[in-house]
Amino acid sequence: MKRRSAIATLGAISLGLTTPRLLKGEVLQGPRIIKKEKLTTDILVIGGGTAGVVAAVQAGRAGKKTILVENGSMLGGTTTTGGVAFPGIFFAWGKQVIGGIGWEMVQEAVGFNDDKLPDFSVPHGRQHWHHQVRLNGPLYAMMIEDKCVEAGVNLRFYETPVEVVQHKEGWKVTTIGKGTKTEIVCNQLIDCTGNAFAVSLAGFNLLREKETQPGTLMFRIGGYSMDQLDMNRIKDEFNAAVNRGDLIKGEFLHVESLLRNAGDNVQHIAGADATTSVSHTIANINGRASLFRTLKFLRTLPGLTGLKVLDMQNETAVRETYRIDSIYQVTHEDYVMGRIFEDAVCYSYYPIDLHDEQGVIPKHLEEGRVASVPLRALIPKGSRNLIVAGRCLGSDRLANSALRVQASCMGMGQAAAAAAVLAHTQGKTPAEVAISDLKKLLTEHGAIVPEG
Amino acid sequence: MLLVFYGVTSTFSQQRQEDTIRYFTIPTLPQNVADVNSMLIDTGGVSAPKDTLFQLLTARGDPISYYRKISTEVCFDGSCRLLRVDLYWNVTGRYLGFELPPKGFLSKAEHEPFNEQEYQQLHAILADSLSPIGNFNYQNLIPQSSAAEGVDAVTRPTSKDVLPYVVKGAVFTTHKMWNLVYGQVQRDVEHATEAALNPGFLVDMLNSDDIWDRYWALDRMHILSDHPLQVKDKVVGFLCDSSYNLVLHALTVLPKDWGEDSSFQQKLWLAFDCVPPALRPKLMEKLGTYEKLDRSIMLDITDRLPTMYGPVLTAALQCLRNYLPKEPEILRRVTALLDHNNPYIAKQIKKFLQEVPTID
Repeated sequence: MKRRSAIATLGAISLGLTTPRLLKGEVLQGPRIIKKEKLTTDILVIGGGTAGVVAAVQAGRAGKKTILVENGSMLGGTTTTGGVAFPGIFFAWGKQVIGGIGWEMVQEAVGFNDDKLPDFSVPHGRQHWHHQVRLNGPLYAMMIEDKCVEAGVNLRFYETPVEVVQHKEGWKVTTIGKGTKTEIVCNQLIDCTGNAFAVSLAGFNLLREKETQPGTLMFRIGGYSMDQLDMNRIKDEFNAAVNRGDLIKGEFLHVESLLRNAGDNVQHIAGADATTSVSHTIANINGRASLFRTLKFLRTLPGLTGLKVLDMQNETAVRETYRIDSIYQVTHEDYVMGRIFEDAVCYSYYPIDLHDEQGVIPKHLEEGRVASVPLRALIPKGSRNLIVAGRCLGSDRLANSALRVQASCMGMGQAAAAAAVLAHTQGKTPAEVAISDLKKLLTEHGAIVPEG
Repeated sequence: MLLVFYGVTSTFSQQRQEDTIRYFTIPTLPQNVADVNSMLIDTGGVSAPKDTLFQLLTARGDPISYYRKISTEVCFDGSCRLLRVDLYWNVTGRYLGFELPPKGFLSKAEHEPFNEQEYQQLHAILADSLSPIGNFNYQNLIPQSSAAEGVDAVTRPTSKDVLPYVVKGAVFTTHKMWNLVYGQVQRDVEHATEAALNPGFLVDMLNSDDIWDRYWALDRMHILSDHPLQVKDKVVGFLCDSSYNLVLHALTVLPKDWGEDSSFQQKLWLAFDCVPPALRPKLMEKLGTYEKLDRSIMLDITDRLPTMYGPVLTAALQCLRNYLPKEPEILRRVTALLDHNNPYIAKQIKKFLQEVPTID
C-alpha cells in the first residue's frame, strides 16, 4: 500500500508538474469519467426506428413519462438512416387501413415538402409500390424528432442496452453510450429494435430462419444515359464478370435493373444483420464493398465511363433478423386469408414479399383481403410488462415478409405503446389489458383498429 | 347517320355488334345525343396538322362525350399499316371507348386479326390511364439488336418489359392508340368541357359514379362564380365518403366564401365525426380560416378539446386562436384545461395560451 501510495503521489506530483499553462479562454478538463445515471420512467422504448418513434409519441401523448433510446444518430431507422423512404401501404382496396401517428407524420412530411400523395382510390394492380408514399428522408427525420420532443419524449441517441433485468417496478435496463452508463427503471418496456434485442437480453428465446432475407444498401447513381447504352453488351460483360468471380452473384441480380433504377432498392446483401455492432458492421462493409466493386467494373464499359455515385445511405438496411417467440404467431394463412383476430390491434396490407437469391416475386393478396396483427403476436411468451413492435413480431417467415413493412410497423408501434400505456395506468401487463380499452385509446389517437 | 346510330344504341357495353366492332365503358353522362358540334384541333402532326374533334351535345347544349375519327399509320420493321378507328372520350377527358369502321378490324403481326379476348384486352389497356405503356417511347418497344445480329425478320420480339401491358403481337398498335387517348386530344376535350361548364352540368359530374369525374368537377368548381345549394351539399357529402383521396380533395378545394354562411359552417362541423380521423385536422383548419366562426361551433370545439390528441388538438387550438381575444368565455374554458391530468395536453394548452394575443 505504501508503494502504491508513493506511486500515486509521484503521479500527482508529475501531474502538477505537467499541468498545462492555460491560454486565455481555455478551461482545463480533467480525465473523463463515465457519467453514471439512474433514471426512472413509466415507459421505455428501445429503438427509434419506424415503429419506435410512433410508440414513443403515442406514449408521450397519452401522458406517460417516456424515454426513447436509439443507438444511432437520428430517428427513423430504415426510413431515414436506411434510406428506404417510401413507407407503405396505408390503404387497401380504396380505404385507409393504417392511420394514426405514423400516417400523421407521413402526410405532414409530404405536405411540407410540397409533394403529392398517391391516389389511393386508383387500384395499384400488380404495382403495389404505386401506393407507397415517397418521402424526403432528411425532412422526415427532423419532423419525427420534433413530434417526439413535442410529446415530451426524453430522447437518448448513441445508446444501446447491455443488460435487461426484472425489477420490482417492471424492468431495469442498463444502457451504455458515448461517455455514459445509465440504469433506466421502467414500468413497461417496448422493444422496437427490430431484432428483438431487448427481449433477448431480458432472457427470452428468439426465432430465426436458417437463411434470412438479404439487406440492401440504398444509393443513387448517375452520369450516364440509358439510351446511349448497348445493354446487351453490358449484360454479357456483367455476367462474365460474375462467372469469373470479379463480382458476387446475387448482389445485383440484373444489371439493366440497376442502371434503369439508378440504384434505387436494387442490391441484395446476403445475411445482413443489424442486431449487434459486429454483425451490422459486416453488413455495412459488405454493402459498400459490393457497390464499390460494381462501380469500378461498370466504369470500364462503354457509355458508363462517367458513372457516378450521387448519394449513398450510411447503413445497409435490413429486412429480417430475429422474431420473438410470442404468445401467438401470425401464420402465412392468417395473413393471406385476411384473418381478423379478436385481439387485432392494427391492420397490415402488403404482398407476401420474400426476397431471396432469385430476387423477389411479390404475391398479392386476393381482392378485399386485409390482414391484421393480434396483440398476442407482440408479446413474448411468459413475459410481463414487455412488448415489441416492428418486424420482430411473432410470425412465420412468409407472413413476416409482409408484416415487416413500414406502415404495418407504424401501426404496431402505436398499438404496442397504447397497450403499455394502459398496462401502466391499470397496474397490469399488456396481455391483461382489455381489448376494448385498447381499441378505444387507439381510436382516440387516430389509429384505425380492426373490428373483430 | 351518327345520330341514328346513337339513337338505336343508347346504352354502351363491351359488345361486338354485327359488322361493327366497338368497345365502350360506362359513360359519365347518359348519351342522349341531340346535336353534334365540330371543333378544329391541332394534331401536332406534319402531314395532317389539323383534325376535327366532335362534341356530342344534349338538347340543353351540354356536352356529353367527344370522339375523333383517327386515320393514322402504325409503322414497324420498315413498313407501315393504316389504322382507322374512332376514339371516344367522356366529358372529363376519360377514355370512353373505341369503334372500328363497318367491317373493319384490328390486326396483329402477320396480319392476323384480333380475337375477342384481344379486343377486350386492348379496351382494358386503353381504359387504364396509369398503364405503364405510357412510360415507353416508341424505340423501347422492341429490344435493340446489337451490331453483330442481322436484321432479317418480319416481326421482331417485343421487349419483355412491355409485354404485360400490350396486346401480344400488336405492341405498336396498342402503344399508338393509348398515346392517342391520353395525348393532346384529352386536354382539348377537357378545355372544351370547361368552356361549357354551368352549375347544372357541374352537379351532373359531381354525381358521377366514377371518382375521376368527381375529382375533375371539384377541381373546376372555381370556374363558376356562383354555386347553388345542390353543389355545396354534394361537396359536403363527399366529406363522409370512404375514399380518403376524395375527402382530401373536397376539403382542399372548398371555396373560402362558402364559409361566410353560418348554416354552411354548421354542415361542415356536423361532418367532423364522419370525416376520416386523419383528415379531421384539415377540417378544423378550414373552420379556422373563416373570418367569423359560428359561436356555437366554437363552444362545441372547446368542450371537446379534452378528448382531442395530437394534430387534431393542435388544429383545434389554432382554429380557436383567431377568435379567442373576443371570446372570454371560451378563453376561460380553455384555461381550465391547464389542470388536465395528461401532462402532454396541459403542455399544449400552456404553450397555446402563451401565444394567444391579449386584448388591449
